[in-house]
Order: sequence, then C-alpha cells, then structure tokens
Amino acid sequence: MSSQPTETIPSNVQTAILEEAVHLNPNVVRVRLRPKSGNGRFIYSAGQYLALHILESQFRCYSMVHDYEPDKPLELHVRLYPGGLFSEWVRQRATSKLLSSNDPVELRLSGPYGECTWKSPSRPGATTVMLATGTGIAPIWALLEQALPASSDPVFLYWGGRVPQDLYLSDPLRGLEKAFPHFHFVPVMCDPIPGWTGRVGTVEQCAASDHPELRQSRVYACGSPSMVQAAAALFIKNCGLDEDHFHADPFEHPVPSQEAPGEYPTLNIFVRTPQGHEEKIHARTGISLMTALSDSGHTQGICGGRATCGNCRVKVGNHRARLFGEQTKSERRLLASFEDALPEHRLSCQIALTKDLDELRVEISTPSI
Amino acid sequence: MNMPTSPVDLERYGPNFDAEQMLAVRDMTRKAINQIVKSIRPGMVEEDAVEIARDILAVAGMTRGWHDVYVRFGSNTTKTFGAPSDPGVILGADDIFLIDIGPVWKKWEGDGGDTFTTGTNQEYARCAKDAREIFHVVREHWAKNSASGKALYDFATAEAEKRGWKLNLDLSGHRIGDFPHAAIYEGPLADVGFTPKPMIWVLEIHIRHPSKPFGAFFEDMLLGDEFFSTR
Repeated sequence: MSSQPTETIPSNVQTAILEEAVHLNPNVVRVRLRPKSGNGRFIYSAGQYLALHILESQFRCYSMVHDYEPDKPLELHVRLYPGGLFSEWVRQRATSKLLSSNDPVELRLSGPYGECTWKSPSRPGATTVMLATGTGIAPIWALLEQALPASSDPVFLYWGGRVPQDLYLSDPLRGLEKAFPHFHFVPVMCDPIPGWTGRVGTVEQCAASDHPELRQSRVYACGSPSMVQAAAALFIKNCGLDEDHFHADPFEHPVPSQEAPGEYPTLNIFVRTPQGHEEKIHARTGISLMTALSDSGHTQGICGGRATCGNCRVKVGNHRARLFGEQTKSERRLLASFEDALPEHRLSCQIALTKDLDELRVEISTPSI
Repeated sequence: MNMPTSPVDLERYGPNFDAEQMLAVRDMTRKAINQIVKSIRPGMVEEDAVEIARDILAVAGMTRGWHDVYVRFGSNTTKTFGAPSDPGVILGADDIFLIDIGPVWKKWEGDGGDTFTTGTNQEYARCAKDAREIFHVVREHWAKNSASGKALYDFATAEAEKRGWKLNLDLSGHRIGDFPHAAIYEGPLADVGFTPKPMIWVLEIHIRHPSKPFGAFFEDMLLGDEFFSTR
C-alpha cells in the first residue's frame, strides 16, 4: 500500500500554484508553492519533505524550509543540476521573482514524508548535533526554527560546501547565533581554498572531532546519502551515539534527463541471480542498492525501503568490510530471522551507493516479482 | 496499457497460497495485537510502543512484515497509512490509540488493526466501537448482498457519516495472500468492481472525527460470520 515516494505513485496528490522561484545562489533556487484551495491543508512537521510530480512516473523530493503554518506557502530549496529535467524547468522560471497571476503554473505534489522530525533531547542539557550538506540545510532550518525558541539546550550545526557561496544561508544562521546563544553554526569547506580560515574536511569528521562523546545526544543529518551513512557509522562507533538517536532522511538525487558527465559517478555492480547467472549492471551513486537492483529488474522492496519485509536481502561478496558495522537494530533483527541467515547478508535498501562500492558483488536472495 | 480489473487477474493465488495457513497467520496477528495492547500504558511515548510491538512480533516469529508496524497515540490516530506520526506523543490517561500490523509468517501475510482507549472519554470509546461495528456491518453487507469492492466502500462511507464520522478512503482494503500479494494486485479493494472472494482480501475501516484530532481503525480479513465468534 505504501512505498517510498520516489518509487510508487502516492494517492494523496494535491495541486499547488508556483508563487515564486528565485535564485539564492547560482545553483540553488528558492521555490514557493501555495496549495490550491479545495485540496485540504497540506499539514506537515518540521523536517519532513514532499514529492513533486514532474511527470506521471517521475518525482523529485524536497524538504520544507519552514515549519507548518496555516495559509503560508510551502518553501523549498531546489538544487539545479546541469541538464536536469526539473532543474531546467525551474531555471527558466527563476528569472522573475513573481510569476504571472494571469497564467498560474500548477504543480502536483504529495506528502508529507519522512521521519527526520524534532525529538526532545534524551536528557535536559544534552547537546544536539546537526549536519547538512548542500540543500540538506532546508529541513535543518525548519528544525532549528522549531527547536531553538523552545529550549536552551546546546545545538551545534555543521554545514558543508565546496565554496563559501554554497552556504547560502550563512548570514541568517549567524543571526540565529546572536538571537539564541545556545546555538552554534560551524561552516565547513570540504577542501582547503584560498582565503578560507574556517574548518576544512567533512561535516561528520569536524563534528566528531568537536564532540567525541555523544552518548546523551541526538544527531540530525540531512544531505547526501554518503554523508549520512558515514556520519551514522562514525558517531555510533566512535562517539557512543545511541543508534536510535541518529535521525536522517538520506536524500536521493534525481536522475537528470541529460546527465552531466561526472555529476553522478556510475558504478559497476555484479549481480548473481537466484538462477546462478552473473550479470553486470550500471548504477549511479546517491541511490540505494535496492533502487539500483529494482531498476534493473532484480529485486523489489515490498515495504518501500523500511527494513521491514526483507525482500531486498542480498548476499554481499566483496566490499563486506566497508559495509560491516553499519546495520541498524531493525536490519540486524530482520536478517537474523531468516532460517538461512548468513553474516554476508544485508538489506539492499539500507546500503547507499557510494564511489567506493564500485565493482561490488552481490547475490540476490529473492527474485523480483 | 490498461490495468487488469477482472477477478481472474486480481484474485489469483500465489504459488504458496494455503487457506489453513492464512487463517493461522490471521490468528497469530490478532493474538499479537492483543498482546501489544497489554503492554501499552499511559505515560508511554509512541515510539517506545512501536519498539515494544516489534519485539512482541519478533518473539512470535513474525519479525518480517509486508508493511511497517504502526502504533499511534492520540492525534496520530488520524494519520493515514504510511504517514509518519508526529513525534513524541505520550499516551494520556484518558486517550485513544490504534495498532496496525502487517506481519509475514513463513510464506503467508497477516494484517490486522484495532483501536483502544485508556480512560472514560465517551467519544473515544464510541469511535473505537464504531470502527469495529462499521467493519462488521460492511462485511455483512458483502455476505448478504454480494456487494462489489466499490459498493462496500460506498456503503462504509454512508455508514460512517450516519454515525457522525468521516471515512478515510486512503485506507480502503487490499489483497492479501502468500507473500508478496503485491505481485498480484497492490490497489485498493474500493477500486474493485466485482464481489471479492473470502480469505484473500482485507477490509479496512479508518474513521475520524469531523473536526477533532482523533480517529479509530479496524481491519481484518474479509470472511463470513463463522470466523467472528466474538461479535
């Protein structure tokens, strides 16, 4: 009945009017949408996202930048990808701040989705750590708006980019620091650049270095799946973070209509079928292994990637060491429930494809339906 | 390409279909719900209740599910299938909560839901009771009149309105069978234009108060009276 919004067509589709599309930097456009009256209200929690229906079977997921307020438009931050189907459409409309009310542009959307919503600290005074890359700042901003006025517990945000212009909300974040002394913003550049005197590296490494002890903390991570996966592994293993206190909705980037070279490195994955045949498939990074195997017709996630049905279980050949130790309690328990459970088994819905998984070998446990 | 709509296509059995086992997993599902209810107390956070439910299902040999485990407290009882709950909701001493589980046992799918209350609020109690009663009157309408899936949910909508509730048609029944029923038909029962067969469909009733933030849910397999001893 339900599945990931990017994979099946949700039933709760609404129509919204595009009210504004304006550049925040050369690569990010702020989009404001107003659900049409008669649809019912689009009510959501800070940190959740929606799916825009670009074509009948294509969706793009974006997080709301502000917490829900009746009668306010929905604000999204859209990262523009060269040649991207929706990116090009948005780019064309971002030339004027206000769109013509005589010729309204309608978009279909569904949601809300996602579970990366604010949870109270496990103990009063406990530190909350937030990580963002790129437009992953959008749900983080919504969470900050909700959380900062409500408590004086310390909150540290690490936001990563390649150049300072990527951090397009730096000034408002500095404003939040002044307004809320318990909030600390740490901008991070992934590589050293001339004139940059701030932090350099990955957001998760910087945060782990500053907060080696996270036993009482909660961590929120929004952005690329590779960052989210690396952060979970690092904090749980090295900082004592309770895995139930790691909150994230890994963001799967859409496939551009004319994919730009180098934008999404492609991997080779060798798939052994239940019939014993080995097939090579090509998959891009930034999606789950389940999505790649589903796209190639090898498996299907019945529960929609919620680590519930086990239908996407695979036996991982090589690269096991790189994947080992990143299982959640749900995944461990589910895998152990199979009579033929092996240490090499993983749920492919829980594996984000990153560059270092090139040449991965997997064996399908359950054939596609 | 047109979607198949005939009973021949939509009511197929999978390769492991077994009516006895379907009834066995149904029984296990109802027992699991009753056990989960006994573990839930006022003051508990909803997220903890979900974990307890998962533990109970795992001990009962039903770690796998064809859908996720839902325990919803208070205002979250209005959420539709798959929608995330508002976080951190604590069950009150005079409150309402629902359970919706879809376990897989061996090769067969179960699916069950029910609603419970913790105090003396008459509206909550009536809502929970009406969800069950609407389920049964709709089921009886099917048994007596050979109503189609579409007709059943028209009937359910009217029955809910008659009692002062709104029926959520996002939760409007579905196939069930040997795992995964998704291989045969993933759509709602409410879209089906023929009389559904017993044993292979689930009837869902999710009602909400028209203005207040609470609702109730009941679901079970579509079966004749002989399978419901406690009515």
